[in-house]
Amino acid sequence: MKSKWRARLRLWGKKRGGRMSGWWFIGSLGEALFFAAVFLLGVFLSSVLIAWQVMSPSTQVIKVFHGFWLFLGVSLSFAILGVVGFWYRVLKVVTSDEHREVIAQRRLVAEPAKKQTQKVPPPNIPDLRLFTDSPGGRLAYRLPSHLRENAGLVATGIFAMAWNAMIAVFIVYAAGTLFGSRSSWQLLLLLIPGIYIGVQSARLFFRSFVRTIGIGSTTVEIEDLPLFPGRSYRVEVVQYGRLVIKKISVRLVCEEESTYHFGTDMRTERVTVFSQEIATHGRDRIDWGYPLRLECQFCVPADAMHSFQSMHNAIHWKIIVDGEANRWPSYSRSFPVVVHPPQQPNRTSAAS
Amino acid sequence: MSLFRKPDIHPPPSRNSNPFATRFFTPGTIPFYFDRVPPVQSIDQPSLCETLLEQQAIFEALLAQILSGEFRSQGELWDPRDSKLIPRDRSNRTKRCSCFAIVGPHGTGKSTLLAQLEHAILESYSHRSCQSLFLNSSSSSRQSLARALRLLKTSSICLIDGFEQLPKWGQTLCVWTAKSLHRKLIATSHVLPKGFVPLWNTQMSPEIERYVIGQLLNNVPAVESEDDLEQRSSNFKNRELLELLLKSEEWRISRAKHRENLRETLFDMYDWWGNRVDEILGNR
Amino acid sequence: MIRLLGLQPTYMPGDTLEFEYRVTNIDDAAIIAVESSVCWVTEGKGTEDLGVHYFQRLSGNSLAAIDWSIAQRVACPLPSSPLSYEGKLLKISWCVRVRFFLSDGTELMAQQPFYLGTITREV
Repeated sequence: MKSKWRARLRLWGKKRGGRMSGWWFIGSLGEALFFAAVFLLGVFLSSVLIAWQVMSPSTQVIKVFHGFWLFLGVSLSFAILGVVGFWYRVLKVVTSDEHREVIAQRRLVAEPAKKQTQKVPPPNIPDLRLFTDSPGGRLAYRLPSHLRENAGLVATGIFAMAWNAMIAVFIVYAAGTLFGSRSSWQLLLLLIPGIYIGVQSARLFFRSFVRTIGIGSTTVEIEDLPLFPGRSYRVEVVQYGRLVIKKISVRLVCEEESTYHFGTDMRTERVTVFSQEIATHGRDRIDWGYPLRLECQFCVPADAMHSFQSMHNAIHWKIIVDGEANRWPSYSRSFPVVVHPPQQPNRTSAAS
Repeated sequence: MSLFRKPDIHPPPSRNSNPFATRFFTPGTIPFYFDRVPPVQSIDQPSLCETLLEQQAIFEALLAQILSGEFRSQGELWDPRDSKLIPRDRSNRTKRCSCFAIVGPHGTGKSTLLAQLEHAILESYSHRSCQSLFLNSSSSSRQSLARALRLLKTSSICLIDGFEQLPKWGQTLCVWTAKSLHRKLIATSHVLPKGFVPLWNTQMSPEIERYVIGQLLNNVPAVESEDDLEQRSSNFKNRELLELLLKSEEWRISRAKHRENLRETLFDMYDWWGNRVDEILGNR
Repeated sequence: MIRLLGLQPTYMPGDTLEFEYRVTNIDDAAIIAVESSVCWVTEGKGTEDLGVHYFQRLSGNSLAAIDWSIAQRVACPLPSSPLSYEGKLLKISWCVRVRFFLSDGTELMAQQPFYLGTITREV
């Protein structure tokens, strides 16, 4: 039991054979916390040094080499190391290792030969290059995801770090005034709500972070793009993370989007006009290194409208993965695809 | 002078057209409806203005007021803070002015009236240089101000929609520029900007709602009934449909929700039509 | 009066759209410019979008050479998208449009809708 917890709390995961022996979940969280602490330490030390220098410029902080500047450099490097390490860890969670690896290797699976008609992209259809620049591991393309959740995570993280850094500086200043026998009680009182907001924002961020780590990323690979009405396509959905899934379902969805923009009035409306369940999977356990893989096939309806994009109106096709997991909130991730109009035989004259 | 339908970029409405599509009510497509005595001296009957001639007369009076640059302080002013009309200065003095504002809450027809004025000025007074500018939230206030000032420098009659998008000091600068360069500036705003006189205070009323809906339902070719003399003689080709809509639960809920803003209700009615079109057209 | 002739109600992507237009009861000398276009427009709950697929403007010397007693022919290959569509929030319609600009400042316009592809409703 003891060794199990030791393994779980190991800060740096260690590879043994084909899998991680440490608990990746705690490892990631631990690393993020470690780098956050390094960042705050760097900010704290820098603030102390600057406050000291400002308040009593006659004294030398440390009598080694260029005292003040040397230690300021060290403190700032702590802060930079912390921030870089922290974001590297966070970004590692929001884009999976495998994903980055596949992009680095490029084209594990041979891309389907470009058809003649694809040379000139049809007008008012989203650019296919945005969807095909990420090759898949098993099928031809890995679809890009709408990263709404991750954008929220990054925004919360930036706010938490900036706010806490600011509060750290004020704490140093307040401590300086306290020890310098000219204590500013107003500042100390003002710091209380500031510290509360800092703690709450850090808590919110780490809760979102834990949630992102726990549920893990979802990837969708597809055998070909663009899609054409009336044709069938294989798709593979992979759910990473460490959780017990109650239900996971994959849907093909067509959505109309209209934006009305006049003067100060701007409103966007979306409506789903087509939804078809491609695959569904019941209760299952997912662990790190053992993701859930769903292979399925779907057919784009023969009378389907193609993707469309103009300045204020659009028709989007997307594959949506909905998941329900034990102890985690339900989630929904969407992966846009492009449907082109049916290919027509070459015609030279008007229809009679 | 024609009453003011802007050129339509669309093919004529088909049987499948939704009469509440934005193409049918975007500013400039439906003539503005004056439902009460305007704040000008030329018309002083305290009655609703129902006929086309009366509408035309009010509109021309407003236009004359702009072009002559004379303003009589009389009538009422919309106060968006209290959502009510307040009496203006009753001194009935005439003064010279160059900045006129169309004031009112969202979705009450400010842009419609402005588009109509632009059309009329261009059509009847094309020798004058007249240009319009739409300020929206997508541009920064600095960019908006630069565009507004450029417009004032190059045109003798400037129409600015969404004047409240400019910062207060920018508004003052525009008024000062208009006065010093002897320009006419007509703007829409939610509150009366400093240095402007109110040209018209837009507000919503059951008469205007009825008028707008009637105009929109005229775009439904399938519901025209040529045999019905009563319908043909009325303002609306399809009174039955109008009554059906005005009595619907969706209309009641939407009006209660959006209050002054008729535009939002028209969006709701788009869905109402889409959901009930088969039933509506089938019944006819 | 402008008359559009020879238009089909439906074309398929890649087809060549061919039509003729003829103008009557107008003095040839009064015509200062003629525009013919093939375009699509959206209609619905959003702001309308317009896409011009084909556009030709005749004025000056090119206009002087035209004999208006005979119909003028326009031909253009149609693109593969956007297809005509009737959805919930938006519709996409195609049309052919001819405008005559006259010397007295007036403008005459004739337009005729057509379908590109078999009409697609929301699936």
